[in-house]
Amino acid sequence: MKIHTNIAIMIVCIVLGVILAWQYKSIDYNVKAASLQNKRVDELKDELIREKKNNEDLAKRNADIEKRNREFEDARGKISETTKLLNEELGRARTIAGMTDVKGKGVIINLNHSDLTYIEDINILELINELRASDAQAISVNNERIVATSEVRTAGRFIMINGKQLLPPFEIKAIADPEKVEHTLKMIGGIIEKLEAYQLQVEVKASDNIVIPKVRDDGTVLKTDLLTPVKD
Amino acid sequence: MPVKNKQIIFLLIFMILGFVFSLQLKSNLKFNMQKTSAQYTLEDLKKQLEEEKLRGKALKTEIKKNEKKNEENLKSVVDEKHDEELKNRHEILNAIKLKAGLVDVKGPGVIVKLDDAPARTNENPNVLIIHDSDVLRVVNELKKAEVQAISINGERIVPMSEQVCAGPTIRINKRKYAAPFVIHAVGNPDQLYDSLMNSETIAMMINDKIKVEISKSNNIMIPKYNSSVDKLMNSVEVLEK
Repeated sequence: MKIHTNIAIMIVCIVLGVILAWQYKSIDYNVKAASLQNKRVDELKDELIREKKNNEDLAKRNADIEKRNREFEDARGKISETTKLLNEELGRARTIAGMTDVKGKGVIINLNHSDLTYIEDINILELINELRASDAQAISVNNERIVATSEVRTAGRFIMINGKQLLPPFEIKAIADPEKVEHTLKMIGGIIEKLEAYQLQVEVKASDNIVIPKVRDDGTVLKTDLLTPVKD
Repeated sequence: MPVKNKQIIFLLIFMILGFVFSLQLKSNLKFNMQKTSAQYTLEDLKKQLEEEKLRGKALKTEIKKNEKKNEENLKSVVDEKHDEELKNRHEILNAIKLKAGLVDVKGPGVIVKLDDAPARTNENPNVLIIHDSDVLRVVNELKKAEVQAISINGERIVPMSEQVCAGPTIRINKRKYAAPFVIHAVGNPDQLYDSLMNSETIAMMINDKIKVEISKSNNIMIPKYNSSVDKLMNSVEVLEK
């Protein structure tokens, strides 16, 4: 009788132990599963916010185009009005192509080599790319305006941009928000750190009055002879 | 063992058992409730996202329609005037828009396809994937060979088009794209092809087993810049001469 009860108690204890372990696992799983779902919800929320912002931009763009459409309609029949609107469009297209001199707030970056190393195309290429990434609206290297087809090529000690030979030190000017540019360029593992690792000297200065000249328009930089406009 | 002792042990065991049961029940109940509420928001969010995407699509069609109308309007206004000066200006505008990347174009050129190298073991995965600097270099090789228009995954390259790393993707014109990257370039096909094939850039990528495919074509289509034009120039002041 005595052994019997002891065995019974032992069995009950084992069952209890198993239940406890099982429960611990189950609760743990429940907590994890819930957090996973919450994460998915957060991701979707982020995506939704992005999409909404995107649509706002699109709506604004559409409104702008509609406004211009109305202006064209209103100008119908009036030569001076039409000319004015046409000139506006022309100015915009020129500026986007890099065919106007522009002025604005921005930064001047001085890039020079040391006794040990030369500046290569990729150094300048990456620097320009980072400036673009920080929303620059116009860039020049030694006053050569960077346009859509501007190459950067190492040619011995020169760098060639827009088919023109440039010598160091390089002065890279950009019209952009100076704070944003400095933030992008100077972050840890950023482009300045990289350039300095190559023993190059980099200096960034903000300025309120940056003037960037237009690209030369002799048909050698912006060629379009092989481009056929597509009208749908 | 006296009877009393045994009863106490049983009492204790059943108390723990009862406690365990109630705890489990509570946890399951809570999870189920959270699950349904999360499920509900999840469905709801998915639906909202779908709606926003549809709205975006509709807006894009609308913009396309309005831009077309804009061009037609301008053309008809100019045509009905029979004014030489006006006609001239309109032609200049079209020529400049071609240079600015504001027109869909076609022409001869090359198509470059870049894709990550197949996964291998014992290898730094960093060398297997395409980086922003790879794309930047390839585009620069095309520019060296006098390219006239470029698009990457359908994004027209304009003067201020960035190609920067954004996590596992590359950001171009503020939009994120993942590999494979398809670069369309209009220019002299032979010149573009040779420039790429003789470049260190492509040689190194092939060496790293990055998948590179370059083909010439006589009919390459490149779309116009498809984002807000104002954002490209709203903080510059144009100096008139």
